[in-house]
Amino acid sequence: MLLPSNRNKMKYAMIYTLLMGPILWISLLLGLAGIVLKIFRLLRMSTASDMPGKYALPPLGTWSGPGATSGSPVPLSVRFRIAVKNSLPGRDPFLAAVTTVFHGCLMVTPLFLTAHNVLLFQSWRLRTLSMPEALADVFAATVIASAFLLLLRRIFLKRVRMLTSFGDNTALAVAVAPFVTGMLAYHQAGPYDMMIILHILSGEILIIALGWSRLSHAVFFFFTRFMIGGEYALGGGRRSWMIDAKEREGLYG
Amino acid sequence: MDDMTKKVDAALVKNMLRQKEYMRDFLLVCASCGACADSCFHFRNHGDPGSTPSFKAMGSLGLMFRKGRRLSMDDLEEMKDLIWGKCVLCRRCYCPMGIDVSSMIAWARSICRAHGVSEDYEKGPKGI
Repeated sequence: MLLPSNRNKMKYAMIYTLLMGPILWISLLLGLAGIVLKIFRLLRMSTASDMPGKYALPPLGTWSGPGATSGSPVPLSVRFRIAVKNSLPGRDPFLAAVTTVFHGCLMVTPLFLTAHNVLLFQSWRLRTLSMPEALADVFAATVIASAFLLLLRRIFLKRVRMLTSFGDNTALAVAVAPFVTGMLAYHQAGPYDMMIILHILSGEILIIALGWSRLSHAVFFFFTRFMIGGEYALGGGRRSWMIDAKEREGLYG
Repeated sequence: MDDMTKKVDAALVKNMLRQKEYMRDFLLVCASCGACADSCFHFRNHGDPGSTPSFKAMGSLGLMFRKGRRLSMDDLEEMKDLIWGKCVLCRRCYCPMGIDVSSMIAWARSICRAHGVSEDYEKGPKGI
């Protein structure tokens, strides 16, 4: 007859094996499929631009001042001021700083975490770059703190509160949950067995959400900012939002 | 034609939304960060949170995508103030994610116009 505590341990061990085995594979496959499908969908909904770079801002060297003829020189300081003013750091420095720190730490921490890389080594003998545990701890705390600041902004700024829907708060919670549970598990705060299971589960939910929910902006961001032409495009703008030429003819021809 | 008797052509709305399928993704990925607000001169001058570019797009085209068949003429009449009264389509709205907000407002205008709903310049956008 097993002691109740031992029976609990066995239950946790069973859930752990399930989460680290089949459910992990399912979530990885679902997440990857979502991301690949998203890329295909974005490619299908856009076409190669007839005139790449047409709507992009002219390069810094050719800007003209107000009332000046096109191409006449403008002081570098003015050009720099305009460039800053038109960017997010110039418009909303607080949001720009918090969101940059949040996204940076969010992506770096899980990839270079020692504990994750030990698991990779145990499974596949894969040696990867790891960062010191103390640094990872600081990064995880930064993610949680900056997410909290974003949440405060959502609650107290009226223009953001008006936009906020249930999905936005859920997305934030899904993104931050692995960090909260991971920190609690690392510091052995609360029941460890429970925390590590919650950590794995929330991480798997996050992986799936990357392809299928509004967290797919991870894919969308790089596609639109770097591929689609426009006033604020980064890069050449080789594609434009357009249905394919056949359908275009049917609609407008 | 009397507005009360007119109905929204659900097939037409569906067809027009399908032509701009990518706008569904625009609406899906919008993180509602509100960063677009500061680039909108209407918001900067009036301070009205209802004139945030994202709010205008969500309340017009977003509503059409959400409601689908349940879209009514009253909805179209109500969004007139958002898409004509609070936006001049100057295309200055800046989205860190690269969402083309003004194109969504322009397409919402097109769908409204296809149903005979547009700004009455004699009355003004609010019909006053």
